[in-house]
Amino acid sequence: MSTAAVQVPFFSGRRSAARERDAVETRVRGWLEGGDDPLAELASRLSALTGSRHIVPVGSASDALIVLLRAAGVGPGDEVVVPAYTFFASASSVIHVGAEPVFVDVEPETYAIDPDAATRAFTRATKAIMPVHLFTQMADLPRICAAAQEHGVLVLEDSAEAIGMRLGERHAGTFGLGGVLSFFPTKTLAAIGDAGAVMTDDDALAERARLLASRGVTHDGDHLEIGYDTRCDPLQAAVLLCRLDRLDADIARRAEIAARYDARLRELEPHVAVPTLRATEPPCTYVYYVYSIECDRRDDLVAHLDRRGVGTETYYPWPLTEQPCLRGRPGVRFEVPVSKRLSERAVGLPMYPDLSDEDVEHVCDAIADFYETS
Amino acid sequence: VTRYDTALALAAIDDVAESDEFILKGAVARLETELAARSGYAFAVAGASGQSLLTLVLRLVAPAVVSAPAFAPPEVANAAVLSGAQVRLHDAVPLESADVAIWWGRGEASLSAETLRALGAERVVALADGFDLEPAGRPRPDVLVVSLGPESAVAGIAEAAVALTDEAELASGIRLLRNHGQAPATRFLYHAIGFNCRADEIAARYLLRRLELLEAELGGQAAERERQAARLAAAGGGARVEPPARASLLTAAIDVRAPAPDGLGLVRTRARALHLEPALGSLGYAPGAFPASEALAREAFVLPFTPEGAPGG
Repeated sequence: MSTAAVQVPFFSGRRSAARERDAVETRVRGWLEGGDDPLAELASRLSALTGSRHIVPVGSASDALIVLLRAAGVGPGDEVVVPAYTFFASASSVIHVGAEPVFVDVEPETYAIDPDAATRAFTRATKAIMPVHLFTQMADLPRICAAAQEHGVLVLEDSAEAIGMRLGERHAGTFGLGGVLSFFPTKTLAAIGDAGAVMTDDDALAERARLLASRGVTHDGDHLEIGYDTRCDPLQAAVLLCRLDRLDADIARRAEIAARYDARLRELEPHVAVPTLRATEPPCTYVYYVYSIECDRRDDLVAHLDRRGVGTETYYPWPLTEQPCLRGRPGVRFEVPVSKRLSERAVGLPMYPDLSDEDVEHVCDAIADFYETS
Repeated sequence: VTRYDTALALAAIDDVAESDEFILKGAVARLETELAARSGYAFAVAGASGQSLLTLVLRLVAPAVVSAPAFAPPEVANAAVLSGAQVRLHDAVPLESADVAIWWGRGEASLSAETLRALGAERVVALADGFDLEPAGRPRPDVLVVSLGPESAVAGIAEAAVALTDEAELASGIRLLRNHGQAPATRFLYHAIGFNCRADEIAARYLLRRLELLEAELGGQAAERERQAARLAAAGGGARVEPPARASLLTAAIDVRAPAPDGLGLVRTRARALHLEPALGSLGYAPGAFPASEALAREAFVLPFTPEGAPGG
């Protein structure tokens, strides 16, 4: 087969889906033909997996953030400290509850919020800090939680990408008052549409989150609060239950792929920098949701890879502070040089369990060709 | 009683898994084209739920005052309050003028030309759980948001909805806001503070197949409605089936007005009128403020369609 004919999309789940087809059919038939609601089982299994006492499935992780913030009492007049280098919902969710996101820079190794920068951003109006566990590893939660406690600030984790990530025995999303999970179709635990969850150990917060996610209406039909219509579809829950069975194997395969990328791409330094995993005590369990490299001439490389049949995703082309709808907000008040540099140099390579070793080699060959011939 | 079609659901799952396309892709676009054609509106924009689409519409229109009927589902109240506008409730028609009137009636049945005039707002935005299969020539709101979730007339496999309008700018705005405010042609560039209100491909593929069955289902609904009307008449007590406004209107359930509902197997439509719900207590309305709505809350019920009225049933 000629190299030019090889296509490596940024994401594909076809092979896994074909393998699990019968299991999904059994689950879906069970639900549609009068069996138990898969949502309750999903919540129970995720609770066991993460150690979070409550899991509240909702329509998406973006909605989960809104529900979590409101359930935690964040609202008008409050500030929430968020990283400048992350997905947009980390900021928009704060604005949707009437509060103001305050953007600070991230650490160059982990791409997670810089605890020192965050602490400097605390004011009397700061109600919460929302660390994001981005791509592969967790934010520095011991330092963040200590600073938050000292200043009377809530820790609400955007752990949307962090299923399987742990610090010691403790799962991401369980360090603060609450966290969220995303089951977006490219995620480590993926639905076949939008889905997400709120996670918390706090009984009252969980109860309010369930109410808010169900239009503010109780099981008895009482409309107690202005809420959101963001219920997780049972169909997605049925699919997720099947995929939970292979989650450990998927995470292991992602690590194999990352090791293969690491070995090949380290040869291309200094043009390419592979992900840096920060050693922690206790040890962190890393999960390669995204394999993000930093590289010279990023946009030219992306175009080259596209011509070679390799899909990429530029996470994220702008720091949140430079988004057209966020520029000029009161929370844009700090310089974010690391976020700015990452927005110019970082790019995500294909990373999913269906990726073959040959696919990975093709991607690496194409990157090597780019730097060796230009 | 659910009205899911297992074969359609499994086929939709297979299609999505094979396509590697999950959200706001080809099937959603085809569904929008089909719903625009069937409804007679120029634009159809699919989203995650009726409430979220209604909220997006109101955010875009940005009215200072929104009026809404006091007998309506919680989605109407939530969207009105979340829009940031001042909210006024009313009984049959607004008691005071408003920039936008939200309309909700059984299905969308009671939206007549007279009602539209009486609403007297600059814009009328309706939320419906029914769907008219022959809409030509009917009076219609400026924006019609149709729920397409499992409990709606066009019953999907998952929560979904569509916003129908003739206003191109409004349709573009809904498209922008439903996907976080992301620019149509540029990934991760955000021009507005939007939501995740996206329609899934799985929901769209299922609905596309369901649309082919609606005409047959309409006949099943008529027969079931007649059967239930006869049963209720025989039971006595004054319960009566409320007929749909038009024979072409597919409805989510059979509407029943019943002064004495006990023992009839009816499901109460709402626990109480909106102004008496704790969520809207801050509006300051007292019991008795909207007597027609309060009477409806006492006497309005539904009967779910049985599996015989389901697609493939």
